[in-house]
Amino acid sequence: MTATTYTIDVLRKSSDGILTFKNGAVNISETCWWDPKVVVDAGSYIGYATRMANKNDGTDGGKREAIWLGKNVPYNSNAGTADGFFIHKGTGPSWSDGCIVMAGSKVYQMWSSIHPKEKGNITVTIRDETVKRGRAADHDCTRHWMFGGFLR
Amino acid sequence: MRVDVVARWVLALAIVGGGASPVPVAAGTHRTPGVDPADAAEMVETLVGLEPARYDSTLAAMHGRAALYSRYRAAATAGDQVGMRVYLLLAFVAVARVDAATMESFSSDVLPLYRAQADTLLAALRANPWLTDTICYFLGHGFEFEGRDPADRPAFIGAESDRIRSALHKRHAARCFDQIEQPHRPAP
Repeated sequence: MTATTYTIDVLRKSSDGILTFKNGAVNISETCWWDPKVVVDAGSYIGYATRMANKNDGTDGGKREAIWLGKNVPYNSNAGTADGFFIHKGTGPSWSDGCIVMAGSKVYQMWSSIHPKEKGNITVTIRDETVKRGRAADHDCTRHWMFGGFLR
Repeated sequence: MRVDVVARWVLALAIVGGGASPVPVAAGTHRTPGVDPADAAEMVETLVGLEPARYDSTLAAMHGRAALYSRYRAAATAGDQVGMRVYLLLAFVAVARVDAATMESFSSDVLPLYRAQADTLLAALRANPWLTDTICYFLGHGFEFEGRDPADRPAFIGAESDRIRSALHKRHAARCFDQIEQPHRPAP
């Protein structure tokens, strides 16, 4: 029997992002944040559903529920690697010193649906939104011509 | 040289050598409470980027790191002088290794620790001034971390100013106030 694996996708924009997770009836697409000074590099990481032993504010009354991203995770454009990045509850970047945070109810919903815990059975993919640049639309050219011609 | 031997030397110099008070263990004898050699080895291994040898898996090492934090936070909160010094050293290690989860724990816990054990904490900083930047950063960051209202910060500075100035060297006290007022995480 093949063990179940899970996928968490984080798409980052400028100052926040969207975390998506689907598992059966659980379908999450939620805003997430991070500390802009300690940013996990884009990439794929093996995640573990676990708890943060030094945070006593778990949604179920226990230790805080979280997804650990494993060992040697690169950050700040490969300035180094670190072992302490998690996805956990939080309502904004002030909850983070490098972890990815989102609403506690959504973390709990995601975390609860992952079995077994304490296994590297999650693929966490972190991506940065790319801006596509190309030829400006015609109406933009028109506007530029107007400003460049009549209004100069 | 084995890492645990190095660890003993490093921690002996950094912590116990700083003047921990002896505690009585039997009539007429005293001992200086030391650091568990396995804990010391784990701290040095973590600081230099090695997988701690006491754990048999990466996951166990992650949980072990959290347990190490918990043990020394408890000792520091109880006012144990060696425990306080080791706890503050763990903060330095967390920043040096950019250990996000552990830094988040310090961001939550240093301010309450100061409120509970200000004199012990400041004595540990006085003996280890190289920790001032890191610890005062977490002290200041505690006012705004996890959505807290930083409005308490000015009152804290007013109330604690004399105590900090009398406990720390003038230059280190100034650094500490800078970090409390406008915390900037020390560069790793």
